[in-house]
Amino acid sequence: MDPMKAQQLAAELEVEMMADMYNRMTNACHRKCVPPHYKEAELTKGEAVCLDRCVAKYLDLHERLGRKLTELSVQDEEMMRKAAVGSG
Amino acid sequence: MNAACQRSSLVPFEIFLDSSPSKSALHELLQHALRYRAVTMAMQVSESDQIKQFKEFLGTYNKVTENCFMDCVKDFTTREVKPEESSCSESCLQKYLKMTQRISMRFQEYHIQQNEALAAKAGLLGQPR
Repeated sequence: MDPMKAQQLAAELEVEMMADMYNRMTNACHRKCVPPHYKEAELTKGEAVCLDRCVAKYLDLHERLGRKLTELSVQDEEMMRKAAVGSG
Repeated sequence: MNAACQRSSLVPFEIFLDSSPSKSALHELLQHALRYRAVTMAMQVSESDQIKQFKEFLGTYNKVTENCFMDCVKDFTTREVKPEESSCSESCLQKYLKMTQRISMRFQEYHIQQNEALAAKAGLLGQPR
């Protein structure tokens, strides 16, 4: 695969992933912060502040879990390597 | 080893690192994808399969984030993630992964059973009298 194609692919993957994350975050914060009463059209101050905090927390959690997932995958991979060496 | 490398063209994940912000979780995931190459080379996984695998991996990542956020994060009086929420979500992640592994295992078992039952039936029907 040539570098240009790889770079393009990388950008596409990242955009796709970010878009998916954005949709899930929107969904999650909607369920967490906006009670399904809908008595009025405007966001209350409480709801607005909750949404700000929700977004901050979701993004923070996204980062943390990403790092943890990498850590676990690395451990997994090392185990596989050891197993391969052992049986070789 | 060389023949294997020639057969499966490896996705040069190094290039990806330039396009993602450094120190972000995605950056780390991509670095890990690099290290995973040795295993991929041995398995001779095709390029499009590697990409599909990685895409699925990213999808799982997003799903688990949403899932664990919904279940573990309850305090919206602050922007900071509290320590109990953090440890809850780490356990949530590990449980989720174990859960998906177990489901996959049982699903495979079920299908193997189904296939065996079908084969047995076919065998019975095909018996010459």
